[in-house]
Amino acid sequence: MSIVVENLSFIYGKGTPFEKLALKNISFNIDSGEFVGIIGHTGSGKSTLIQQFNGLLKPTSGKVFVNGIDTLGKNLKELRKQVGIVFQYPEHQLFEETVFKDIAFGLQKQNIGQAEIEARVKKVSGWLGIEQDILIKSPFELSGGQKRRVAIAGVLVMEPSILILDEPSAGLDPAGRDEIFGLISRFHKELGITIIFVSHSMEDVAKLANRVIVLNGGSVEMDGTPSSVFKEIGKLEKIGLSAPQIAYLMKKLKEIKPEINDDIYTIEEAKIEIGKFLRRCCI
Amino acid sequence: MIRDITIGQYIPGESILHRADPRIKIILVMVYMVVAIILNSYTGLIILALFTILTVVLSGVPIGYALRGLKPILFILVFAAVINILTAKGTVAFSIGFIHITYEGLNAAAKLIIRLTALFMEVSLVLTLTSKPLTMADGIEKLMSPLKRIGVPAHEIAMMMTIALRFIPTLLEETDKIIKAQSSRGADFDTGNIVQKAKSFIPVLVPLFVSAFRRADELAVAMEARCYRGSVGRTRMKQLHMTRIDLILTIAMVVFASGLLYIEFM
Repeated sequence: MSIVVENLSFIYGKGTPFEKLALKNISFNIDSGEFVGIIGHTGSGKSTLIQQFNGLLKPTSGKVFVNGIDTLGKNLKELRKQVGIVFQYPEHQLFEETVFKDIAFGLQKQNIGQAEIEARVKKVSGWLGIEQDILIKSPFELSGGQKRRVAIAGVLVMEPSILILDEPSAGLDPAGRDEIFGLISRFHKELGITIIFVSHSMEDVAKLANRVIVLNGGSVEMDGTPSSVFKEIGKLEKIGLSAPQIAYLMKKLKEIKPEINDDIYTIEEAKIEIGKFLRRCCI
Repeated sequence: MIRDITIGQYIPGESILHRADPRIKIILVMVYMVVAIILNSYTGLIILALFTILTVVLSGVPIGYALRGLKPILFILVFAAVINILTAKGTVAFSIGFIHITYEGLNAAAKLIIRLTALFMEVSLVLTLTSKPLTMADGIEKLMSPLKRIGVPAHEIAMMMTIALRFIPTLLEETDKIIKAQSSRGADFDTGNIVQKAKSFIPVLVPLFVSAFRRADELAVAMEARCYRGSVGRTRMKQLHMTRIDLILTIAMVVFASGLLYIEFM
């Protein structure tokens, strides 16, 4: 069990006139190796929740355990080594003179030899397709997509066992988005790490995640496999969300041809299903 | 952590102080400051302190919140008091080794603490806790507008203040975000000596500067796109109006100030 959340509540600005209850009595577990998508409309507590996982925010009441470490405890260094968070627009946190130094920043803070640091930076930049000649450039010279990959490398280089991403595709063009998501699902497959990502795109969640957690007003509204969550379109729409576009198309098709399977939430699956149907009926 | 800073923190409300005209507020606070500096008797200072507490109660701002705003000046307060105690000459009250504490020193320190605490609390209450920063900047612009004749760019100064104030919360939020991002990458802001601590903020300051410049650039473009071109011919959506509240406040302040000065000098 990599993350255990028990009756977690969180209040911003407790004791000031600006007090705000952001998370209400949340409980769930995330197993290691899971690929979890968190969805919810703006202000539903997604960002607050992920910051609980590495102790940036601490529970007002309740507990959060990550790989057995209590986030209320003193062992924050170890906790943050195990949980890597890539925030929204992570490229805004770049600051070093060179890309290499920026990626190595987290490692420099640990007692790791220079040779080891170099090896790990090389390995991570290899995964992320950051070429050798980019490593000596200033991060401020790079393109948007490159900057984002560098910023993600700066987190991955710590070799976290849990990687959390807050809207990793925000502000990228379609090619950049596919690239980032391609990389993320590769990390999941090849490194076997737990991945949790926040997204506003139901398509991305349906395509990637094997579990979806829906937040609404600081509580967990739904929690389950993508198909079990997206099946309840009415419920999702009531809280300001939706199912992936393709699900609406499949529903419409089923109304016309009842033999079509409409339990489908990604374009790839839809392609296969529609292909099957066309072959059965029209050839 | 960074959210605790209460600079420019407006607390919404409907009290007399909230509804008063910013120009009147600025002038009355100046009168208050002069009075606070002139006063030198315990009677006067204690009445001043009571008056300050009364205004806090009237404003509806939680008293704990107003007190918390004093945290930043705590160091100055203690420092000034200690200097006063150690340097004043006069009748020795008691001695610790070679340090002689005098009655005069203790008196001066006590008065200083009352004066500064009251002053700081009142100023922050009237000018920041009960005034929207933008209204305040408007008031300052209006008060300075006679100076336009001698070439003081009153509107531009007020606009700069408005923009600076507008960006305080934005930059605080940004700082908070960057601190979080860097802490997640293993940055440590709390350990080490003062040099190491200062150095540990480089990963925060560089991105903060970059984003401040980016925002400034975007704002300039947005303002120009809306045809902003300085003060000439510019009108306001919200005009400032004096009301009865302002008259009442002014009379109250005049009575209070002259009464205090009478007690002080008669």
